[in-house]
Amino acid sequence: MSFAINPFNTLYLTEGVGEVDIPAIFSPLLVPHVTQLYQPGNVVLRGMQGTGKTMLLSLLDTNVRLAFWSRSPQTLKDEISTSDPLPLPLRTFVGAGINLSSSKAFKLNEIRVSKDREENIQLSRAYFGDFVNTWVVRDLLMSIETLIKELTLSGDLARLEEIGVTANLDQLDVAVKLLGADTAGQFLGRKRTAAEARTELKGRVEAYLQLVRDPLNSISKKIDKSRRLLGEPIEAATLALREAGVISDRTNVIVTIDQFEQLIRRAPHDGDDQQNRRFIHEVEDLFSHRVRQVSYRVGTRPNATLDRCDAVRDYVLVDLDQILQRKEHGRPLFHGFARDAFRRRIKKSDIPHADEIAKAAAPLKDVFGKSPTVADRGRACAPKKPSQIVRLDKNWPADVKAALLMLAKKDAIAASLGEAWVRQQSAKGIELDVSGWDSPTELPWEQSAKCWWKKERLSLAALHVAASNAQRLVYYGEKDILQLAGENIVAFICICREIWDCSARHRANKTGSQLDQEWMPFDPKRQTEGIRDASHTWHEKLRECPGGDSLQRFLDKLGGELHEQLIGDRQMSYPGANGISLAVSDLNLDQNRDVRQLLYDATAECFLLQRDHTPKLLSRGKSLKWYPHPILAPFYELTVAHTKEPLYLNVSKLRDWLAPLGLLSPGDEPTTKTKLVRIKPKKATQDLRQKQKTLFAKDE
Amino acid sequence: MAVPAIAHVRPAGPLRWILPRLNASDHWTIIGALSAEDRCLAAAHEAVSLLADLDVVLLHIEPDTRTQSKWLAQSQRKTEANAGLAENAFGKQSIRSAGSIQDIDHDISILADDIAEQCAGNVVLDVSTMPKRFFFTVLTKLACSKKVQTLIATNTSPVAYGKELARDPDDWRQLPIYCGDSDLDEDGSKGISTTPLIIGVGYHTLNIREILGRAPNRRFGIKLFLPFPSLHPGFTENWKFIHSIRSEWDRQVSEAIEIIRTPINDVSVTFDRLLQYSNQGTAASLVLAPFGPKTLSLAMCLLGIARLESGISTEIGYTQPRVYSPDYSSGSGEVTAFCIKLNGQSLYSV
Repeated sequence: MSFAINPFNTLYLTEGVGEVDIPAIFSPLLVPHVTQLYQPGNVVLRGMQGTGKTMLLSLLDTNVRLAFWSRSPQTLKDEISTSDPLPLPLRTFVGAGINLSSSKAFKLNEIRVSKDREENIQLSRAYFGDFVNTWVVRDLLMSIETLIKELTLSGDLARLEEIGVTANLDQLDVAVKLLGADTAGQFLGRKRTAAEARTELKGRVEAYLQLVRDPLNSISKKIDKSRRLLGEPIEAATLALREAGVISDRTNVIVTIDQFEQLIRRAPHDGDDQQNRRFIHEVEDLFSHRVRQVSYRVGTRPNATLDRCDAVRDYVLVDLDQILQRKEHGRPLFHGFARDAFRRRIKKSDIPHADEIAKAAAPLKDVFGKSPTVADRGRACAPKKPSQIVRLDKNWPADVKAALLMLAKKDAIAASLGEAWVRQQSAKGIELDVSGWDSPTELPWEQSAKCWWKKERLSLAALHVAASNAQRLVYYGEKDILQLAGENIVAFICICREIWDCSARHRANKTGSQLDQEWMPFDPKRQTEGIRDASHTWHEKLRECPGGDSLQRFLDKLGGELHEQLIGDRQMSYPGANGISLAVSDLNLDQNRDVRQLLYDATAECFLLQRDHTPKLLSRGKSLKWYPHPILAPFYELTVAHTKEPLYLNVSKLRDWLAPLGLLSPGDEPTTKTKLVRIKPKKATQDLRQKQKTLFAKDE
Repeated sequence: MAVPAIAHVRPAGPLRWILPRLNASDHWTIIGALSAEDRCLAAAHEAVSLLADLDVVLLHIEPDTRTQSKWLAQSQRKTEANAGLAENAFGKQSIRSAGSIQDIDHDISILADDIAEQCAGNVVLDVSTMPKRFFFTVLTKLACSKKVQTLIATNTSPVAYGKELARDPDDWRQLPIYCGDSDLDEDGSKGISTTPLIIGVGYHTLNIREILGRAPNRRFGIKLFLPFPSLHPGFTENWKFIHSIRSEWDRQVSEAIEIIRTPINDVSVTFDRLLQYSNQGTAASLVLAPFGPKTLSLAMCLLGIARLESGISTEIGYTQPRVYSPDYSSGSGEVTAFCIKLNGQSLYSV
């Protein structure tokens, strides 16, 4: 197989920086779970970075729809989707929108048009509303014009009928005249054609940009007089389009406000002038007006709320993170999504055997193979000297020590579990009988009553075995890749890309190109290397986020503490300590919000996974737990599975961790001395950890 | 000094060499910025020693206080110490409170307008330690001011740079004046032509998705301007910067990412290179990312000014770090001067 072409080079589908063929690689598997996006009503699409929000919203984009429709049916014969990934009843809409960043709408929070603070805020909100109105109305007219022109040209009049748009372009001019006659459409003046309207609207956008560029410029009285509240002209334009017969009564107008989540992300840092908050309020007001002619779409990050409107009355919340955690036919929805995305990328690529792989029943499994069992993962990293695997307490009886060493010779994982078993029993003061330990079936944790004890500790045992040999765990195969992707499609594509690159490098060095003629599954060693690279890449991505250095130091501290906890826990009392739990009440009492902000930022950027947590003690109240994203597990050397109880923390303890890093607000030095049950790693472990840590040292 | 006959001669050199060759007996103003760095006062000291009639203006810009860091307090202490030195050397009135690095565009523009209004005749703008949001705006206003006849930009090289310079780069944010255009073509369609994106190669990780990913209807041709020669340890950071961009984007953008080596201390040559990669400066759409050395940023600013004067807008943005190292640099080296405007005539145009 040719490795020179990597089908996974493009991490993000909708970046628009090249010739990304969205119809070819778009996976429609999520569409049935987010149908609200394509139906009337306002929708807030919530999800972490990289879960596919932009991809799903791209189906509202006219150019993307036209790209789908332009594909010939022959190329689609063996794909799941038709030439439109949306089912027929969901296609009757026209889309329009604004990207708040590229349109420069954001920049209107940089203006000072009045010395009075309140007046300045009010005016910039008004200008923002008018700017968005102008842009969206223009985009709406443009979208319809493009639809009519393109579909008429290709003779696809049935498609126009399907979405309820006229084929007669002249009717668009009628709509413009009607809109110009409406009070809300005054900004069009006496424009009589769509082309004139377009020029007028562009001039209006430019006038605002002139103001942004220089405070010496000002907005003309003509614009001031015709300015309307956000949404009003869009509503009026929709009505005019219906009245003129441009769109049918059943055709919805769906407006996407792209990059809204950037406003949310920046808002916590707003100063006195509430730079970003003022525009968030403007959009919230738009939602709460409950306009029915137009449906709006915004994407937000996890934990973001629209304070001024109601999640049931004013909009529908579609939580993509929760959807991706759902199971379908007993299997996680994400797994099906990832497999489909993989197949499409392969099929779209020019690699030899692409068709063969794509047509296989399980292409992901065919390419990456089966993952090792948890125990085998540990065994693969076991040291040759059995004495290295277990740590024997000098006070233990000789027969116990001998039994553990005997186990270590036979099976490293069994020895590690044995050591934990002995430590737990000793701590309870129970006398151990190890007489039957030479038979694997007689081991206490192999009894059916203890099957969960064993299952919950296998991953930790594997980690301990690898650490005892100063090795890192191996990861390969379909199951590992899906698990490490942690319900994030970008993480999944990133892992595939790095494995592909790693294999390409290796093959180029070792064998030249003759093997490119053969289709061979990836070598597990190369996969492990690729996964480590992906983990490292993901860790490096931390620094690319706004405030990324602080976020990286926070994650490094958290990952380091969790690693130490796991490695130091020879008794395996806390096998679920690859994450932390905090009581919501404790978080809410934290007035400075800086700890919360770090947790929320890391979650939004997909470096932490946040889950609801029901603690063992009800008195702790509602809690939340956070895990470093699974793709970071190889980097921080953590277990991947989220089993058992996470590490119980309180905000004060977390502050203790973070205070030396200088990440907290001034005056927030830790005040309480909270004791936490945690086993300190022994010196040998610390030394080992330091040794391993250099693998990721900056200088390398 | 008479303006040379050849328009493309742009005098540059050590400040101590340049100033005596200009109208040294006339009234001059030097504008700089206080900072934690030793070099922040070097140009003013040198100008004082060379000019008889000189006003010194040192902008005191408050840092970003969003990220809590020991660096912040240490930097503020060092800046205060430098303010004390400035008061002793140039008088208390030389220090001008100039708001915060986080100030909105218009506040910075208003400040720059005010500075330009108060300046007449001969002006030296020391960009050595002036944040880009301020130096781009002030230089633009001074260059466009008819009252300013002679305009010189200076940059003082330090003896050494620190190991880590800054942390927590923020979102991509266009600099005041340079927000670019609306990307709407005359025929109403969104722009689909390739936009040159020229990035100065610096030491910081740049989230290029910040620039590329938010303009889904634009295609970019990425040019990386690599300062050359770059000395250890800077060059390793430069190549990390390049690697991070190339590994992510090389096979995704419509044109191959090109590396263009530019001299580290020659604004004139760098400006000409910029012209070369922006259709002689007249590309309808152009995005500049001034990372890398100050001289490269200065050349980008001059291209922005030249285009502005020709009625073409430019997008120039930056991912402003939230906190700078108190040990960003140490010591003061040569103060290099670059003539921008002589006898009211701009030396940099498109």
